[in-house]
Amino acid sequence: MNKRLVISDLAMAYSRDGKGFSLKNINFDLGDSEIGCFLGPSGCGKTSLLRAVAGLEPISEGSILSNGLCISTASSVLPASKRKIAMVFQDYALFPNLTIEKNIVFGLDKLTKEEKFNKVESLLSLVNMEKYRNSYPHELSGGEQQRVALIRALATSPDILLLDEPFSSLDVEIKESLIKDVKELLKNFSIASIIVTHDQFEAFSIADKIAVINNGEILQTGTAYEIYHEPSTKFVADFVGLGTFLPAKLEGKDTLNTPLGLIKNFSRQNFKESDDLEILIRPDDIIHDDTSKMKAVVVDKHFRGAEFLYELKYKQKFPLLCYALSHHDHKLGESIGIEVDCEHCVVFKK
Amino acid sequence: MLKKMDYLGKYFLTLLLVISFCSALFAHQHKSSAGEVSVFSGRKEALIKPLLDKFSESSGIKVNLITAKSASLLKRLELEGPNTTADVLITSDVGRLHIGVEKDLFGKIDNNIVSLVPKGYADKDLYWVGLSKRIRSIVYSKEKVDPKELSNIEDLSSPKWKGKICVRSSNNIYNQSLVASYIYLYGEKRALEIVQGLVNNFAKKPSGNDRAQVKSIAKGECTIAIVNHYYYARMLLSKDKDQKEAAEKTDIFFLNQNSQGSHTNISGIGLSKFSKNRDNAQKLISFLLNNDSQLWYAKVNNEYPVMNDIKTTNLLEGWGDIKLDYKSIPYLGRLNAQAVKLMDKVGWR
Amino acid sequence: MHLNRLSLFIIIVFVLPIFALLSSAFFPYGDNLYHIYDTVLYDYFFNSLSLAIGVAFITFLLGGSTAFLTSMYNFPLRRLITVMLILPLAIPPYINAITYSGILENYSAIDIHNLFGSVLMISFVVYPYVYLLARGAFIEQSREIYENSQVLGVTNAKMFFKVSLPLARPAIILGVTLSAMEALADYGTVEFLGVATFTTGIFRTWIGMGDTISAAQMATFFLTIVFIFVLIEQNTRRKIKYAESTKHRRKFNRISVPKHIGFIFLIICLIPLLFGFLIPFFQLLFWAFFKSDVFSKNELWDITFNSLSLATIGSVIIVLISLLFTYSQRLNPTLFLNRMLKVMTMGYAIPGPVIAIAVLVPFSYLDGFLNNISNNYFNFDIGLIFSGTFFVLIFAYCLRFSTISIRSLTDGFGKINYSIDETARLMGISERKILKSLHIPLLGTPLLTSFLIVFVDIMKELPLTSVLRPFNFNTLSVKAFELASDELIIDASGASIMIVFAGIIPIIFIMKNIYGKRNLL
Repeated sequence: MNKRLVISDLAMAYSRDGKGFSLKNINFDLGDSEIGCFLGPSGCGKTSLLRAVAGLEPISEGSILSNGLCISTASSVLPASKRKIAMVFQDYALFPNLTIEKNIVFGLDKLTKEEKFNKVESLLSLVNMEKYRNSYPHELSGGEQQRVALIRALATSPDILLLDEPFSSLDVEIKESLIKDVKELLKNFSIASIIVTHDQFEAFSIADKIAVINNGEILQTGTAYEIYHEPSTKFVADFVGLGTFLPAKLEGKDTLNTPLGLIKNFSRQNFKESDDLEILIRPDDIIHDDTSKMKAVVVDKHFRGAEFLYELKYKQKFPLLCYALSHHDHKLGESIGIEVDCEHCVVFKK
Repeated sequence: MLKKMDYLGKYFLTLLLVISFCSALFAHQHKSSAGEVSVFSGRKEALIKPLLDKFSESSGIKVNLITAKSASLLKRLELEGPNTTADVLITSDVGRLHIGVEKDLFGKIDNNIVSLVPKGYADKDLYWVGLSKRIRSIVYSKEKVDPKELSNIEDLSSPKWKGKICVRSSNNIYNQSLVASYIYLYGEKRALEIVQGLVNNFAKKPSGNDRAQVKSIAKGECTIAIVNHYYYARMLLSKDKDQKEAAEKTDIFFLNQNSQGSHTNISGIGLSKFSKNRDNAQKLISFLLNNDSQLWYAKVNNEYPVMNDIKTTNLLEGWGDIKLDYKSIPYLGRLNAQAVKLMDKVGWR
Repeated sequence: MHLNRLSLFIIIVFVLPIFALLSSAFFPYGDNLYHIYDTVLYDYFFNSLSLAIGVAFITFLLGGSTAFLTSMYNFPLRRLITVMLILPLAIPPYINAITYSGILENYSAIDIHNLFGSVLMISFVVYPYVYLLARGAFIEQSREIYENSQVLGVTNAKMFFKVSLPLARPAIILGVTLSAMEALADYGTVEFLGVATFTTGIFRTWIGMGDTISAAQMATFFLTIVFIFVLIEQNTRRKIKYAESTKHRRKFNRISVPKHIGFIFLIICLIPLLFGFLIPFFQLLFWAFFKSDVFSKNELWDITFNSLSLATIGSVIIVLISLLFTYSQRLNPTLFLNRMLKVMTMGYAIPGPVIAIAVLVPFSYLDGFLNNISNNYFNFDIGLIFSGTFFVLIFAYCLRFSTISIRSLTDGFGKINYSIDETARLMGISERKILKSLHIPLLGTPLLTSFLIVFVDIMKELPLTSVLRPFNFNTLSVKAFELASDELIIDASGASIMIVFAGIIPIIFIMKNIYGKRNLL
């Protein structure tokens, strides 16, 4: 597949606010209509990376290629204005003194009046906002502002679209439907895009390819499924989903001894028998079954609508998480039956 | 650099240049030319311009004028040096003329002009001539003060006037000159005693202008005020009822008539060393000393002319022949700093 | 990049005179410095400090309270009062003091010839700085404050002290600092009212003792103190982040209050208006019309035209260079330019005549140098092209008055998020179009406000104008001050009134633009 964006061996010295963290050994690429995502906790450097792609920050090592053309190296930087890269900022950055129409055509100086009019018309109809053509940004709701920011970015037909925390300031209720709309829109335009977020659910629901970043390094790149079920480090495992770690030991060739029992057919990777290991147990690895003989005590519970998330203690010392349909309402301190269904064994050295 | 500058830089630079150019056009730079004379004046415009206009009318010479504080203009003259456009400097006190001489800013005026001026009112080295006289006088309450009690400045420092004297602040040049003259006359030690006594007799903290001191007498805050004679005259002739009434409750007294005479300062004129219109400038100086001009000071601002034998206004003539302390005049400038320090020491703020 | 170089070049030219002044600190002590230290320095220090603190406190009370009431509440005559509260800015403090002295001279009970009188005379005409800036801040937050207080059910007083005031703090502190700086640089008022401050002391040393070095050293000492205060003030401001001003600005319906409370609010707002504007204005008007014949003279109209042209050109140039400095600082922030801007903003606290001499010195030398060259090599006299023209005057105005425009534009830029610029840059928009179509419209209020304040300040300015103006160019302020200082206040009333009128017209025009257009009046 043709690569729209290739970042190789990139390193950055400082962020703009001078806090001094750095990015290093960054390798990432993006296909033609792929949606990529930089996922990581705040302060990990993901926004700086995005800004480097946009040409708003210099890089100190490596290179960024767009359409096979080198746009950033340590020594030369193609100005942001010439990159054909658009960006939607966290605060949307709508021009408050211009109407929605003028906002959209602001970067379209080369078009005729009529072309501009039609462009605005078609873009607004894409997001069902035709009637806001002459409104000012402050008259719109947050979600509407976000959609305007998005179509404004698309209006210049960029090669790559960058979105910095696009959903962070939206209400939870509308977030889900908006994410769906945005994904649809991006796929319609078949544009390569990168989303920066700290929220793994946003990342999972929109991105084709996720890079998990922490402390200035990419820890893992992969699809949502891979990241969730085959995390490469403990940090990734912890960051992208719930779970607990239990002690484990390797026994023999391919057996793993855990407090929950023996797990057979375990590929031993590089582990030695003497190693102290830890196994990741996700809530979906534990199935609630009242008839099971294996019991764990309810320590806490969280109501999640259709289901409960139970915090359990197994054998008085091993914490576990478990989902149960919400009609299984158990009291704190009660012992409930569980079964283990561990499909992906994720094990780390202690 | 210009080539390298980006578009926005050029945009700003062009805007600035265009505006500067417009303002320069609007400004038209002054350059001296033959039929002109340029005046730096420490006298206020209202007290000099009409006379300069008359000069232009009679001689056909155009007069250019800037008025500001004498000290600032003196500094400007000094800084402009050989390139100065100013031909003469008019000041409202003699101290500034003295500084001008010390800094070598003046050229010699024709002896034929200087010799017309009575002795003591022109520089013996021909660097400046006086134009009008300003007397630092006493104004007293008719009701509360018997003029026979008043005699000379030493008397004002006696404890009998405690809490009775009003005067403006020592920032004022006329007070500085007054004290300078006493340093000249009595020596620093004795002058300090006299001024200390005077300050002890102040009725209130010095503030306001000379006219305000006269008003203070009318209000009963004090019985004696130290005032320049022309401010008092102006009040007497004022169309404003309050001012006139306040002035009429009081009378004027000139100190030291039995000794050295009343303290006098002069407004004067010096010829710029680098004047490019020396002839015109000297014509102007002669004009300012002629009878009509001399009378004008008296009529417009109640100042005494420096020239003798000029019949002034009824009011000024009515105050009689006043003995003036002209001997101090050349020393007022050089003793000014000492006077200021002396006033600092005795707490005259 | 190159814009920065241009700014750097221009600002270095501007701050050189200030550094030349400050360099006097390295000369041996002036002859009279010990004498001054022994006798009067404490008085100068005490009086200047008291004056600055007093003016800061009173302008805070007057400006803060009126700004809050007019932006939050509905009461009778509010719209009219809102505009009129700025008018005292048009009255020079010195003229104010002389006018009051004229009014009060027959009532010995009230004596304004003291420190407290000076504080009042200055405060009543400079409080609009605080009012203007605080009002902007209150309006921005008015809706949230109102809704919060509704939800929390707090009293109005608590709402003011716990919410509004802390939020508006940076704006109010800036206004109060400007007022205090103006008071520190004042000469005319304190001299007339008999209060010995640093400013009068500097003149006394310079003019009375003829000791320029001591005077410059005193000025340096004084400026150092001012600079420390300015730094403290700016550091307190840095910690406070501005609220996003462009978002969610909906029309705010002011709180309606019962009639008697509205009446009390009206009275509170009338106090500064009455003492700062109505009384002196009508007294001057009375003198001008009934006691003198000033309006019948053609001369007055010529002078008015001069003043208006000078103030317009001066304020346009000042706003333009401030925009240049602040914009290049935004595009490419450098510590050096930032430091230089801080130095330049000290200009507001430097007494006028000190600036006059500080700028005359270098330009006279430059002119002398140019004339030497042209005389020696081309046998041609080019004259005083810098020091003898409007150039030096406008230059001095820039040094003295750009404080206000630099600071309000810096604040204005601070409120525009960088993401706006970056979005536009990513669209491939030129920097010129970004400035023209985005920044300048978004900076509307600070641009107009600084133009207005600088315009009015130049109209009122005296010492620079009188010394540095070219031949035969008289202005209203020179005219008014000359006559007033020669104890001819009645004759001075005509020119004073014209200064006020000339100030009122742009004030009303700009207020309509700032507040009217946005439904904020």
